[in-house]
Amino acid sequence: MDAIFTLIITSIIDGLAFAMLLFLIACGLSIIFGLMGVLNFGHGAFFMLGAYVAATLFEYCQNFAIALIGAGLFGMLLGLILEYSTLRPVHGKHLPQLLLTLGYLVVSTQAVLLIWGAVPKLFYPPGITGSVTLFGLRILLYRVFLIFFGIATAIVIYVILTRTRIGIVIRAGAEDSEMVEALGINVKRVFTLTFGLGSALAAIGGAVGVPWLGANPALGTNYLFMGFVVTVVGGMGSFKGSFFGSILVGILHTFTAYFLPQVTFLIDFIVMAVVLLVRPGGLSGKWG
Amino acid sequence: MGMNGMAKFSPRLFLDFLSTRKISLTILTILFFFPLLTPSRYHVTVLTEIFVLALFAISYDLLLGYTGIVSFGHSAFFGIGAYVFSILLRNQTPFPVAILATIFSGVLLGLAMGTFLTRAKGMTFAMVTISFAEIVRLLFERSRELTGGETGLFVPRPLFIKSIWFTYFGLVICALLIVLLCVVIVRESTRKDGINRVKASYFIFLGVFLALLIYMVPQKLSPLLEGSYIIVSTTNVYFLALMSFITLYFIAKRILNSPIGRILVAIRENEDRMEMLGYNVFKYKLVSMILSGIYASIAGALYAIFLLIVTPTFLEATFTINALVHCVMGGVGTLIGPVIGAGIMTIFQRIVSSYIGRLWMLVLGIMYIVIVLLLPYGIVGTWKLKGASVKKTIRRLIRSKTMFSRHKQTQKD
Amino acid sequence: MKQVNFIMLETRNLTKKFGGLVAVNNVSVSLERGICKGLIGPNGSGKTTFFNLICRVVKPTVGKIFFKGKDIMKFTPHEISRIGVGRSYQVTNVFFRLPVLENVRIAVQSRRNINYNFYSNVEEFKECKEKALEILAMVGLGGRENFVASALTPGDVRKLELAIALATEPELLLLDEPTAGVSIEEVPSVIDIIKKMKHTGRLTILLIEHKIDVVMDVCDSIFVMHKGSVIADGTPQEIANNELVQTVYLGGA
Repeated sequence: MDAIFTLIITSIIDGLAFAMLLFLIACGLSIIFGLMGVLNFGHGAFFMLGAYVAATLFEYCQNFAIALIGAGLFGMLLGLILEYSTLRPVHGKHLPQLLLTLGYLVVSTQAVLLIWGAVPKLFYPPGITGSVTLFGLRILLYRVFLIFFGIATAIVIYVILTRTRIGIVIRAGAEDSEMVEALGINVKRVFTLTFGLGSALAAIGGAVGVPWLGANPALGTNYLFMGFVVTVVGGMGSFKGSFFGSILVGILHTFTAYFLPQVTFLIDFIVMAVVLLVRPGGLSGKWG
Repeated sequence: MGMNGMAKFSPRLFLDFLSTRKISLTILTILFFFPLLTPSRYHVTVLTEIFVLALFAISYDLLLGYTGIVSFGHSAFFGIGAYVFSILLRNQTPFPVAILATIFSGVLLGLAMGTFLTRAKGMTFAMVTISFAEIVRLLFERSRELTGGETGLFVPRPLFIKSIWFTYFGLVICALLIVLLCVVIVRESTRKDGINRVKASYFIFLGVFLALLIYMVPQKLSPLLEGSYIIVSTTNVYFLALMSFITLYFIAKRILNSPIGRILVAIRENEDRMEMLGYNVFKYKLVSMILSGIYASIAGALYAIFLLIVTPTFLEATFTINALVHCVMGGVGTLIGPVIGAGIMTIFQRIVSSYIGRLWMLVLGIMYIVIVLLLPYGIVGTWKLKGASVKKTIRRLIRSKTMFSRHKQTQKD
Repeated sequence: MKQVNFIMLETRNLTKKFGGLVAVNNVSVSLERGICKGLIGPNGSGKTTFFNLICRVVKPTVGKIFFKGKDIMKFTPHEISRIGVGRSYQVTNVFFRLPVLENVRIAVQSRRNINYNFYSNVEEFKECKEKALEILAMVGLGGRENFVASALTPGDVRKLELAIALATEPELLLLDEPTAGVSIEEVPSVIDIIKKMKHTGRLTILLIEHKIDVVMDVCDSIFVMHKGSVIADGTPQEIANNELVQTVYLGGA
């Protein structure tokens, strides 16, 4: 009984922590899709690159905060540059956009392999690694940190989206991009900025995930895929959807991994299928 | 065209038709003679692989280019087709039955994936297909008894591949093509509008080709016919791939020019309008998926015959991405584009990877991005758009410089 | 079924709410066969939403719609087209990358039983092509059938819209701002086409328009919407003299 109880608690904590990582990817993915109609395959690339940049920065300066901020800045810059140079010419044309972002993913995966090799990198930020024993349960500190970090980020993003002007424009645009254009706002700039912010978010996600997942070349594709699952489940273009969707998917995924490991690979698909059957617009009911 | 909707068949019309398709006929002949023309078996296998991948790329284009459906689950068709075929073949099922079963699996899978279309639109559908393909792959990887797990299954060679009679069959077709080609040449050269520079160069080229044939064929023929088992098999697989590819290609062309083909194109162009015109768009998308599934499964079965082994690699997303790249490079929505894309990419891959090895994928990715940006319609697509003006310029250049048609020009003045 | 006042289209208490916004509010109208009825109203009064409801592109929150006496609540857009409703769009919605002829031909083909034929060349079905050419000639696009639709002037694209809508041989034609974006010189030709359609006697037309003079010219009766509700319904004369309409619409514009 005790063992199962421990397993359940661990699952919940790990599940929530995993959910926060998923949220960091899915949020940007969902909003970029809702706003720009771009199914951004490159998002996984930013997650992966963020992880590698953070790992490298940490190697040099041993400072977690710098690693995170560096990764975020890198993601933002790269996102802005890529969007401005390559995506702008094909705005509105869904297929070329999709193909381009796919290209980003492929090129970045290969670049990572070339620059850093196939061996995964890990680092452990001091102070929040290790575990603590609470009520007879061994709790990994980093997981708890992830949960708080995720919630804090979610709050910050929520405030930006609801209180600042740019945030409101982004949210409105994510639901109805034509209306935003009609309001006379420079849509191109909004797109570039959103892409940059979304990419920064993904990069931070990757960075913050390193102590748990490590930085490896498969990160791009694997977590992109999870990001897609969450986006479908949560609803495209919806911030709340991506948050609650990540929690749902994260917890289900972790529970299955611990209790029914043979079906783990099926669970994502089943969740997607069930959501599509019951509520095609995802949790938030939005198509984006 | 004749009356009653059926073209009256007459030798003359047929030859007229062939004359307009001189270039295609020539290419076809060259392709059929290829095993006899090259010294190396390796080249033959490269071409075989190109035909199979081109068939797969066509199946992808049917979905993407002609109906506008983005799917990342295509490798599922490829792999399942290959596995179904291989498992049946291992159980001594006759070849035709195995092929029919493969086609049937393609239909079923197409229906299955098509049902997602009711609930998932556009990009959501794309994401679901990724998930689906991954699941199928993992399923096949894990069931050792049925599918041999990670190591896969060995595919026995179908009997006719081992048989010299099939090679004879291929050679008969070669002979037929040569005869047709000669007849066309004779007809063309005796036509009344004389010879201009283009035609002259074509005839010269043909002459060289025929000379080459006369020189090389007898040399290659005897080792082939008495030949080792391996040479015969390689040639037979080549012929099989080539014949399947050509047949399926022309069938696809026929379908795309039929009423339903036009409907699919219109759906790609404006789905909502089609709904409002009374077309049940979902049903047609389903048809497209089934057709695409059939083609992809057959490609998978052919690939299994080619490699003599089927593994879960067949189900990896790499194949889907390759098909996508072939289509983008060649031109989405043209049927010949993906074929050309497949040809170029495969040859490129073989040549380049021997020089730069692991950098290959990076170069591919960059090339791919460049093409999407600069040639969004692909090679064939851009040619079709701008081709008319390019052709005009070429014609003008030829006309102004040709010796043969000076006579004609003075006549015009 | 050949009553003098056979009702082609009838809506009862038709209401559509998007979240808190009421786009169409309790609209009950009916259209007799053969008339040409106009629908006018300021921007955002719910006219296009009304069309979307009839075509079942959008689901009503409340209310019923009857076409030729049949309740069409459960129908999907393509079924609505099949029972005889044709539509043209405010924002032109043709097949821009296809040739003009193909645009109309595919519409004609929808009413022929060849839609699952995958083995015959489409050129063998000459009747579709000829009918398409006929319709193109009627709307004044004859001779330009090989142009790509995107190469036409806005006025001609409008005519193409009408041609496509006509090609499905509808009994009820919903025209959403057929003169929107058309240059002043070309407006009369578009009006002529609508009048020609009226005079065939086989069509019932419901016309949304912004240009009052067009509506007054072409329509037998008009109803006016404002903020989702119908505020007036009558002959052009009655509407012109209706004070409420004047303040809401004509006066403000």
